[in-house]
Amino acid sequence: MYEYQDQIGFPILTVMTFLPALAGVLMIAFMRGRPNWYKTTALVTTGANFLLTFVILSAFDHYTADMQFVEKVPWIKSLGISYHMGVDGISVLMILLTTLLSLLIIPASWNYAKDKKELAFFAAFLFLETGMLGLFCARDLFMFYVFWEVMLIPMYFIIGVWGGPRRIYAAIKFFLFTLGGSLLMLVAIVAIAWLARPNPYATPVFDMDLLQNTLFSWNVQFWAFLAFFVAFAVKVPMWPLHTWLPDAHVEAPMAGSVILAGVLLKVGGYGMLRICLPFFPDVISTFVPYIMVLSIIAIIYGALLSLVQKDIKKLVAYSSVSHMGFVTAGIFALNVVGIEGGILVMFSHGLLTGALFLMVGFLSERVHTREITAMGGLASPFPIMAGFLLFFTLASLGLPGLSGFVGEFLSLLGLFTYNKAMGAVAALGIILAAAYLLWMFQRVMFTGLRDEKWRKLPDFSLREIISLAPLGFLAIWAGVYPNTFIDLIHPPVIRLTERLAPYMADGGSTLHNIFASLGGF
Amino acid sequence: MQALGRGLWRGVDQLAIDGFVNNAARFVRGIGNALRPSQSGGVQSYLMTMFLGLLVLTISYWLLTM
Amino acid sequence: MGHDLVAIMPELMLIVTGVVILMVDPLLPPEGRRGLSWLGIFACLTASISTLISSADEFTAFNHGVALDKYSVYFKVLLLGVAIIAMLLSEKHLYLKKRLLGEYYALILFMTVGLIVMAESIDLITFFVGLELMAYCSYLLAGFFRYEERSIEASMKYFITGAFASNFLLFGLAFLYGTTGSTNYQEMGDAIRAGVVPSSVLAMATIMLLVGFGFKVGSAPFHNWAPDVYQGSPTPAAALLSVGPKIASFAVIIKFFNIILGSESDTWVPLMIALSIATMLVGATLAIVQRDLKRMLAYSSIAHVGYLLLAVIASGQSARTMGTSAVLFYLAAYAFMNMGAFGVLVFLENRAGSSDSLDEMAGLGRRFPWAAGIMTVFMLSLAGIPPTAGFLAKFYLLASVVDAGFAWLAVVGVLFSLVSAFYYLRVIVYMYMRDAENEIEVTGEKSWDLSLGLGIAVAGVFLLGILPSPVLTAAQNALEKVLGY
Repeated sequence: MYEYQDQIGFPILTVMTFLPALAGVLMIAFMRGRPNWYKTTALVTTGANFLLTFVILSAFDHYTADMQFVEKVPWIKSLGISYHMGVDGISVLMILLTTLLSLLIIPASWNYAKDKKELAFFAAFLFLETGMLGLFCARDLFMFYVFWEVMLIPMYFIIGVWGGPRRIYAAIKFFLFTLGGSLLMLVAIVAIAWLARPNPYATPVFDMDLLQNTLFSWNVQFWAFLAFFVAFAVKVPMWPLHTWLPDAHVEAPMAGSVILAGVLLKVGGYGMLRICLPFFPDVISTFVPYIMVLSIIAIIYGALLSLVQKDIKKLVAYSSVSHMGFVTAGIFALNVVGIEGGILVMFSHGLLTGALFLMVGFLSERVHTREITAMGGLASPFPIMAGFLLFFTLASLGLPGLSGFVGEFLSLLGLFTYNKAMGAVAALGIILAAAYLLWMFQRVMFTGLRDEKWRKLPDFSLREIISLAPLGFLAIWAGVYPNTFIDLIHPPVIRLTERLAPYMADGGSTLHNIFASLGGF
Repeated sequence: MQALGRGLWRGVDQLAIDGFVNNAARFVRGIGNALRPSQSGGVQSYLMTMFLGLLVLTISYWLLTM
Repeated sequence: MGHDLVAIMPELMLIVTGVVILMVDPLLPPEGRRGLSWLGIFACLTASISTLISSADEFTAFNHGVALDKYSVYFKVLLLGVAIIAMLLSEKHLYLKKRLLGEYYALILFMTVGLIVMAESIDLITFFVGLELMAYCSYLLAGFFRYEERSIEASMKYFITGAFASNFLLFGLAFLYGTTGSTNYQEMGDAIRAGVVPSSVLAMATIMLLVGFGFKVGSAPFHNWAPDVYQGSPTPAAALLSVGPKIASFAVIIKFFNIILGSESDTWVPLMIALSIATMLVGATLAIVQRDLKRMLAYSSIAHVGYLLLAVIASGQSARTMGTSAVLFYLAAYAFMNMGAFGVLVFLENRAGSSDSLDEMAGLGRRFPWAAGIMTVFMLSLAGIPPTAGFLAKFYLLASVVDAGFAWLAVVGVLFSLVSAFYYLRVIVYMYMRDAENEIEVTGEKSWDLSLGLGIAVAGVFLLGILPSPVLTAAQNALEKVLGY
């Protein structure tokens, strides 16, 4: 379906995408040495973007799977490349996550980089926000790639300049891992853009709406799927391409980890939904078994490794690997339940892990360590923090009533319909998650107080609470009334599964009916 | 359970995967260091290299068209 | 006769200006010499304007010696732009090193004439005249700092290896002339297509040509001169030397391998594939182990030549137009980013005394934020990261390779891209993520020329990366007359 829909009358997507970059440039050019100016600018810009998200949501048509707020202008005519933006439910959900997290890190890091190039610090996050938003809005494959790569640069600087002792190793590892996948993707992009030409004299096709409907030969689909999949798998990150993540998280500054875990890890799943599934339907069933196995490995492996981590950030990093296993398992179950579950896990994980990294950051600012063994008994000097940590820990392990449960449950259900044994094994992952998370909480918050000095340190400040509260609020909302979010993504997911109907593991409709009868869909 | 986790971490993540990655980097650097002597600084060796290049091209062409 | 002179009006302007500079130079006091670069720049600007104005006319001159068509317009404008940037970068540097002589600018102008003649030639004789003119000027430019050992050494090496390679080139050209009976590209091509030339001669000639051209562009295994020459030459001269000869040589390579040897692609394509892979390998892996920046840039140039050869290969197969326009666009992008990178090194040498090693880059982000920022742009562009010119050029190049049916080669190229990203990133790491060990004296004065030159380079990198259409279309249209089939 290829219809334009522009409900608002001004190019809201472009404004939202480039506003942060513009602000960043202004900051660098005019606000050197004036912390209040640039910090406020960062806050106002991200705040404005967050509000724009609500503007979009309010004008959003919940009943269509077509792209909305579409903007299309030819860019490089001779190559068939246009500046083409548009969003559907899935993109909007990701945009919500992005703008929210980008906003919250500003007050959270208000004094974080005081002594070290603070202006550049905030500017980097603004440029990063532009990259991420551009990716979620992109409807031209060339633009998609450009924003994909552009995201790398600020993140690389964030880790490399403001990170921990091994930051250079971590930053380069992050960059080269991702670049390796992306370069493979580049070859695939070029191949399909040129192959999609209606005749050899036409310009290549980069329009994602058109490419979705192009029939490629099985061979082309196979290799292209593989290339794209590898690129996305690195970002998810899927086992065994995940080893950049623990290093990146450990060395990144707090805000860097929040955005990394909160948004950057989602772009992989997003890519799979946007490209792997719609463009190459014929070959998906060939890959699904392997992907499922890798997802299960990720779930269990991630959980097992979390169990033995001494550094709390590495623990959360490996738990991310585990959670993202649910995402890929859900998506490639190829049924409505699984895909929606996968997307919800993405959203929920963004909120929860973002919150976890914020708290780890706040905590380590106080106790100056991330070693779990060095911590203990922190509940007594920091009751508020303990409360928040308990909340997000429980949410992370999938407590019903909170967002983690809904996503994991749905994607498990999707996985079950694909293969019952695998579903059972995956469920083990949830049990392991409970184990490592609760154990971590216990060791950090209870047991004996390690250092008496800590008793005197302040508990959470208002600023820190404000950074966390919205995440908690959304976590509850998504857990108690997920329909708001499910309705948002339902039409595009339905359209996806309808296209894939001939290839689906199970009609999906049976489960759909079950849910309809349970009330809620 | 803990032992399993630790074993997997060390064995797979650190040895196998990271090992592969870090060794790939070392491998590339190794090629660079291996090729280094070809850049000796002496013009004579440069001329010789060029001439050898010519020979290799000629010989491989003949071999390919035989 | 008048017709011929009109055809080479831009070249004549440059020659006259060069001669004037030579004559006026001894009469000027040392301070007065600083205006000479602007004389040269003015000449180049006028020449490019005149080229663009008359770009609608397409004809040949000097008895079918040179062709004036969109192809030569593209290269002329590009080469003149390169010359302008080269002169902008040089002035303060020469002054600080107390070698501010008019000859330098005259040499650049004459070299540019040689480059332009090479690019627009359609006859072996004119091509060779241009080649030799360019070559001798470049040897002199490399050795311009004649009180520095390294400069003299660079010049001698360049000269000796150049003469050696020219021999092979001449051999090959002689073979082709002897068997086809003509020195005009088109006629030679027709003769070859007619089967007049025995295949063994053709093969030998092709190989000789590959050696000669391979040397000129710095392709492996004929690349050894490049690191020494770029390192030893005066840095602004190295900027020009790393860009100018490559541009002109590729202009000729495209014509040679498509017009003359167009029907023999089965012969030269496999050989060029081997050369390309070897070149990318040598360039990328040796750049990683370099700690001297000029040498690193030399190997980086070598790697880029490897990519350019891929596009030439593509043009030899089915992607004729796309492959060649990819080469043209890539050369423009490469010109901006490479000259920019060298330009930053010139800046550092002017202000901080030297810029040789990677360690001296440490902490640059703090000491010279703008220079570091610009260098970051050039490094990212060389690595092929959007939204820079380097990315778009690489993208278009890969597209041409894939379109020609060489998807596997594209993957190989992309792999080397990944390897090369490392050493470009490393510069950024040193600039921003490491702190300087000792405080280096900031001396020297600002040079507005240098800043202008760098500004043009950065603007070029961003413009070509974000709004490439004008240049891209120019590159695509350039081939109208050149590749008839």
